[in-house]
Parts: sequence; C-alpha cells; structure tokens
Amino acid sequence: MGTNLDFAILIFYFVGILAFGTFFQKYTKTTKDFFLAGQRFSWWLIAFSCVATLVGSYSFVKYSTAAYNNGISSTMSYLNDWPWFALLLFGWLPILYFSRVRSIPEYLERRFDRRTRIAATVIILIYMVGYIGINFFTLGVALRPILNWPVMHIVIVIAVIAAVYVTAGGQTAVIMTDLAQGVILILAGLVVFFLGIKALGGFSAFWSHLPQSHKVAFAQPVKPASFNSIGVFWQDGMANSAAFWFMNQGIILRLLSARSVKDGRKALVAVFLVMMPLATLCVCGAGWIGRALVNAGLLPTNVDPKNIFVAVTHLLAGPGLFGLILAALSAALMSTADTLINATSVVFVNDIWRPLVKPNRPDRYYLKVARISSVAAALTGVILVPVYMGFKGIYQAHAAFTAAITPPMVVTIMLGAFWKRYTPQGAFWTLTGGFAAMLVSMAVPVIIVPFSHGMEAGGSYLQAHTYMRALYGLMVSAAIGVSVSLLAKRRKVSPTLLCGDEKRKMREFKGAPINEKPGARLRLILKGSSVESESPVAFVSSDTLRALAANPGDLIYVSDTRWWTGGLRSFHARVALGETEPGTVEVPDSVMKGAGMIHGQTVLVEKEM
Amino acid sequence: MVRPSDLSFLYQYILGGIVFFAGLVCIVKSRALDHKSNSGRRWLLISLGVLLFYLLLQGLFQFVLSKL
Repeated sequence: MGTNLDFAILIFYFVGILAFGTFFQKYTKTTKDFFLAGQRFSWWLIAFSCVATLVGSYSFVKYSTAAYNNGISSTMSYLNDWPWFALLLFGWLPILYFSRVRSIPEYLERRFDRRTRIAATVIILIYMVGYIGINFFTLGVALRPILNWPVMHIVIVIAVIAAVYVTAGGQTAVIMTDLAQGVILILAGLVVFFLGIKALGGFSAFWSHLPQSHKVAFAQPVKPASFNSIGVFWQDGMANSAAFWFMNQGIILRLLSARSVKDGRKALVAVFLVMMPLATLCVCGAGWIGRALVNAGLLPTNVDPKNIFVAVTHLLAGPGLFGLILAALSAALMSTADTLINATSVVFVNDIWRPLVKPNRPDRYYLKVARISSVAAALTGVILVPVYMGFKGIYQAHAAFTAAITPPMVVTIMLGAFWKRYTPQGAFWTLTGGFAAMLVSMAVPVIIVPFSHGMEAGGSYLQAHTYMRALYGLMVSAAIGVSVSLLAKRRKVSPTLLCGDEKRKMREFKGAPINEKPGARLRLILKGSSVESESPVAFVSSDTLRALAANPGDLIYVSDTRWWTGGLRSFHARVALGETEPGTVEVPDSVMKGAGMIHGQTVLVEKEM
Repeated sequence: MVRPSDLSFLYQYILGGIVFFAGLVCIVKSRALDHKSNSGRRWLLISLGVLLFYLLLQGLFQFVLSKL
C-alpha cells in the first residue's frame, strides 16, 4: 500500500517535525518556558494547536467507523462540550492562571491537602505513561503496512523524534509542532471530504446516497446499547468532556501558555466555534463519504467499517495525497504523544521531584530534571509497547482504567473549584471511594442498572453499561464528596482557588492593586541592558509611562510587531521609571535574548494590569 | 411526527442547558464575571452565542437537512 512518493512525504513529515520542534530549544531557558511556554502566546496560536489535541490518537479510525455505521449522529461526541463553556471560561481558567498552579495535583494540594495530591499524582501518572505507550503502539501498527518495518523499529524511531523535540523545546515545541500538525490534520480531513463529494458528483448526490437514518444529528435515546444519545451524553458530554477541559494536563498547559486570561478565553471561543466543528468534519468525513460511496456502488458493500478511513483515502487519493493523509494520521498520534510526554514531565517534576524528593533547588536544576523526565517518559512508553503487543485487550483495559478514574477526578475538581464547603476529607474520599465504586461496578455491573435509563447492558463485566457507568460514577462520587464534606469541619479556603471575584484574583496575582485605566499600545525601540533583576523589569521614560496609562510596578506585555509570530517573541515584565530616552524600552539582556529579540528592534508595548 | 432522535435532541438541550445556565448563574453570582461592565456583558453574550450556535447547527441537521 502506498507508493515511493507517499513514503517520501511521510519521511519528509517526520524529519520536518523533528527539525521544526528542535528549533524552539532557544526559547526554553526556565521551567516556566518548558512547562508553560513562558505564558506568552496569542489566542489564535493556542486555538490552532488545540486542534491536534482535540483530534486524539485513534480519532480518525474511531470516528470514521462510527460515521460509517451511524451517519451524522457520530458528531454527537464532538459537539456536546458546550454545557461546560461558561464554567471553563469564567470559573476554571482564571483559577488556573491567577493561582499559578501548573498541574492538577498541585491544585489539589493547595485546595485540599497533600494526600489528595499524592492520590491524584499516582492516578494521573499511570494514566499518562500508559497512554504514551498506547500511542506509540497504535502509530507503529498504523505505519507498518507502509514502511514494511517491524512495529518496534517504527516505535523507536517515533519515540526518538518526539523525545528529542519535546526535551529540547518543551511546551513551545509542543505548541508549535501541534500548530503545524493541526494544519496538516485539517487539510487532510478536508481534502478527503471534498474529494469524496467530487467523486459522488456534488453535495446533493452525496446527501441523497446517505440512508435517511444517517442524516439526523442525534442517535436514538437508548437503543442500541453500543451507540445511543443518552449514553453518549453522559459518558462523553458530561464525564469525558469535563475531564478533557478541566483535568487534561495537556489542555491545561496549553491554556496556561496564553499571554493572558483574555487570550485564553478568545482561544476557547475559537476552539468551540471553529476548531471543534472543523475537527468533527475531519475525523467523521471519511466515514460519511464511505457510506455514500458504498451506496453509490463505488466501494464494495462488504468493506470493513473499521478500515473505512484507509479504504476511502486509498480510493480517492492519488500518489502523494495518500502520503499526506498518512502524515495526518501520524500527526494525530504524534501530537497526542508529545503533549503527554511534556505533561508527564510537568507532573513528575512539579508533583514528585520538587515537593517530595529535592525541594529548594535552583530553577535550572528542575529544568534539567524536566528534560531527563521527558526522555524517561518516552522510554517508558517504548518499553510498554512489547507488553501491549502480547495483550489483546489493551485498548479495552486502557478504556476501562480511564472510565474508572474519570468520574471521581471530575467530581473532585468541580466541587473543589465551585463549592466552598467541599473539604479535604471529602476530596480524598471522592477520589478513593469513587475509584473503588467504579471498580466494583466493573465486577458487579448490575449496580449500574438504576442509572441505565432502561438501556441494555450490552456485555458483561467491563463491557457492561459502558456508557451509563459514567452517570453512576458521577452520582456516587458526588454523593460521597458532598456527604463526607457536610459531616467534616469547615475549612478556610483561599479565594484564588475558588470560582469568584476575578479582580481579587488579579490583585493577588499581581501582588498590588490592578490598574484598569485604558492606555495606548506603543511602538518602542528595544534596548538591552546588563542590569539583571530577579523578575523581568522594563524601564521606560515618564512620557511612555503616561501614554501607557501605567504606574511603576504594573505588568506590561512586550511583543514583536509581526502579529504572525503569535507571541513567540514576547515577554511580560514589570514596568519601571528609568532614565531612558523617550520612545525606548530597556530590559535586561537575558530577558531580551530569552524572547528571541535583538537590541534596537521595534516592539509593541502594552499594559496588561 | 416526533422521531425518537428528536427526543434525544430535547434530552441533550434540556439537561445540557441546565448545566450551562447553572454554570452561568454560579459565575455571575460569585462575581467571576462582572455582568454590569461592558466587557462582562460582551462575554455573557458570547457564551449565549456559543450555546445558540450549537443549538442551531444540530437543530439544522436534526429538523431540516435530515428531511431532505
């Protein structure tokens, strides 16, 4: 399968991603750069890079199969995240950003106690490292027919590529490569869809070749047990979507790398209104086209739904284009793997090494540990692949583990962020008791029946009530959390860690009163100075200070004048009055070089708060 | 005639809507969003716009295009 041209495109893609990702090493000088990319990116860059995270490792295969079998209703899983929109934008995002937490376990310790953090760290690390291995394994299996190499050889090559650029460039490399991979994904998805429409003779012909039952946006409420709308709503819309937006370490780091909360919000608006529908079209399109092609007699009726993505692309795409589509498939897997590798190193350094093993070391020491742990995470993923190769039910086991941890984690985070009365005891027992309740439901599925809406079990043990187990888990975890908290003594909680007054959060973040007076956005000449300070300080003249409507100590954002750099060349600093020429801004050389800027260049300067 | 999948549409938008509006009330009451400021009102409108976007998009497929 595939020609030499397809092979060449695939190789070009891997070499290109490696070179592109490694290029960003020069922007990574601190752990803040490595984990949060210096919190400097524009909203559009974050939004685009989120596409690669939205399209998970096996999304193309999974959703094109669902689209082939069920039609337009296969979009339910992607289009049911909106209930969380307001809580995410105005509740959770400001908590994360202004409290300066870097991981979920860190939030849990600050909000509750250390044992809750440790419980969450163990759960998250097992999940993420296991998932890295699954990504490598899936990519190895997917590329074997093209490359004709043994799976392990492919896995090692991929792991080396991902580990090299993540270790070098950290979160910046992840965001920038995911931006490129997002473009490839969308391009490939749209190409397959529009080639299919063309092959069928236009949109009307495509639509008329779909069965009537495949044209509705929703599946039937409770039948069949394998695909129904109430099940998808609870498992995907409530549990998994909340988990994706509120506890997925990759998404959290992506949002925290925005230059401000406002840019994080704008990125999310773009994701919800543009990227999600586009991603849905990309991952489902081949399945819809496949069904129409079968009905039009252009594909055999006995085509395996699980292979519909490859069957459709092979039929429609000529040499070269098929290579691009395979590159997109690889991009979906690589982007998930790189996000997980970076996120694993964040959790390891932030929640194990720094607080428990070697506290109070210089930042450069933790940066070194972060780089080593990225390599270790990739290596562990590779080591797991032979284990997975001998274990037929690996995907089911991983799905079962994810299903078991998701509801208790989601409930813990939600109650923690939005219910002041929630106590450390409540949180710990939600996590452990909820997890135990989920395991019990896998051994004794009959206890899910009261939540099943009359749905059939659809299997036994792990396979029984797979959808409605989420509702059971959410309800049981919430019941444990609420009842234990109400029985425990109240505890004072920092308002920064709860949904609430944003101005107060900003004040605490800044460490001084916030300045909301509207000021100008100025073009100034950047000057480097050898004077170093603990936190970045930018000296400007009194005229500049007045034009910015800023007071000494206010936070400003200095960026390259070219919008398309997306904040890659930018930094935050505290503004100070200095004896500098009007029209200039003077910053320490290290800050200037860290942001990839040069002495004498024109920059945009604006007040943040 | 009401199809079973039409009930699915109602189920999602009633329960999802409860979560959405409960969230909105929670953030306004806790002053996480200042609905009295211009910026706060703009963000509130954007939130409602997102809900409307999905309602119309899925409604279009469910009630219009599916009948063609």
